[in-house]
Amino acid sequence: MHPTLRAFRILNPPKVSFDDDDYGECNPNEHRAFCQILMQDYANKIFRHMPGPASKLKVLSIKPITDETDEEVARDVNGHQWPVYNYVRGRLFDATGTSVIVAHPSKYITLDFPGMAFFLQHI
Amino acid sequence: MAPMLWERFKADFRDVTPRLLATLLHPSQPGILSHVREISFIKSPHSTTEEEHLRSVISAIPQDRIRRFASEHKVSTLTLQVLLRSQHKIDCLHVLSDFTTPGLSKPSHIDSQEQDAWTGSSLPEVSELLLDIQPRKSSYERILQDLRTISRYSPKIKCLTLEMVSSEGSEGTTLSEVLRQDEEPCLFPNLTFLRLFDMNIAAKENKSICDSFDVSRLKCLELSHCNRLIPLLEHLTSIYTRDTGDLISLIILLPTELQEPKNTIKAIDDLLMVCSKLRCLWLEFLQHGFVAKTSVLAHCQTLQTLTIGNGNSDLDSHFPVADMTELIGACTKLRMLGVNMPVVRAQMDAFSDMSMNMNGEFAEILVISYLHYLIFSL
Repeated sequence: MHPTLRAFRILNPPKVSFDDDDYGECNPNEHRAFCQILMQDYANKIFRHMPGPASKLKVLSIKPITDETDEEVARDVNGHQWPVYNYVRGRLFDATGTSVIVAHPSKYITLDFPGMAFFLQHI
Repeated sequence: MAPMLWERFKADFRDVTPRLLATLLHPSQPGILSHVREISFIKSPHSTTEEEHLRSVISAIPQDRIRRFASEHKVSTLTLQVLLRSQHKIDCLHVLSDFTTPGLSKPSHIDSQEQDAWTGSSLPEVSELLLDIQPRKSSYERILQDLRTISRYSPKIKCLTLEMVSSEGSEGTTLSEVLRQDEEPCLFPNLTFLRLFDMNIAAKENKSICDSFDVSRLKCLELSHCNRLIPLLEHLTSIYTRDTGDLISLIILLPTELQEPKNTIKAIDDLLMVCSKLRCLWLEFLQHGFVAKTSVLAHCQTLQTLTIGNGNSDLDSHFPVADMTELIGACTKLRMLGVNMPVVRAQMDAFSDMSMNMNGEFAEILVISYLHYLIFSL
């Protein structure tokens, strides 16, 4: 794990497609909840891959540099609007009482981390 | 109840009701606006009603309270004057306004050349300024004259953003052409942060903009969607070859329609090899390629923010994985990292191959990036 990295931003838009042609292309509106779960799982995996006290990674931002957010795309229950997803590293206890690292969705990431606003918003 | 000390006011004034506005502006409710230091007028479908609301808010704020005013809209000269008449301590002014070229788009009594000196003298504390250049609407001489006026009246400007608003007939205009008749000393003598947006900077045959701006003292340089930037880059390289310089932040976002892409990237490589103090490097080259790994490695002892992207998600359009792994390992002070992720199919053999073939921090991220392009078997 990188000892000093605090924020990680992915600059290209995520792409989701299905093996089975019957499902067609992924539609962010039609598959909104599915995309939410998918990105949540992705974010969890990134944070869990950088665990331990030595990891300072706090923020994960999936915000394409060619961000052309479509106003027609509805927000998911986390307030995220495809293709922009922001998460903050945190911990939860699972049913067995074990502490696990999770990615907490952040609706207003630049308010949570104003010092990173330029890095997280610049397009 | 203690009054709330709201210092930032941000609004688009969309769907404002009379009751809401009355509550906001009512003299018996001074606590809402009396502590405001920053106003941000944000984007919405523009109408004059919204700008009227903005003027009402400005006039309700006590004198000399505002330090920062930013508008995503073009504000009228009247609004700007209402602001500057009561607020003399603004140090950051981000407006899209005709005030550098008054009288040319909407002639009126307040949009007159006579107002120039007055407007300029209202800006003594401004240290950060965004200006539009509209070569289609005004002559180069007039633009230069306005830049001189503001430079003279606002000696504290450290951060200047120039944005060229192109319109039909002005696409080929370069900044160096606008500045070509400038014989006086450098504009904005205390400039340390220069941002140039959406413009042709200089053709080789033109005078360099470095005769009008002292770029040797720049700490931050941002060139966003600019073309013809090779002469400026070469000039900077020559400065840094002779001296160490102060540049700590370099941001270059290339436009889609770039002239001489290979030579431009080479000029960026050359500059990176000689300026060695960068803390922030942000390169967005779209389809034009990437800089050499060694150019970035030259800054590995100081880099805190590194962003290398190309804005799309084609299969092979990311910085080479092995190079990125080496870079991340070498940049021991890195706090923020932005990259394009490689696209990988979600297959177990690909997953294990990646685990085996790559080492280092970036490999760890890549191993889990398999979900970024997910092929589902549903």
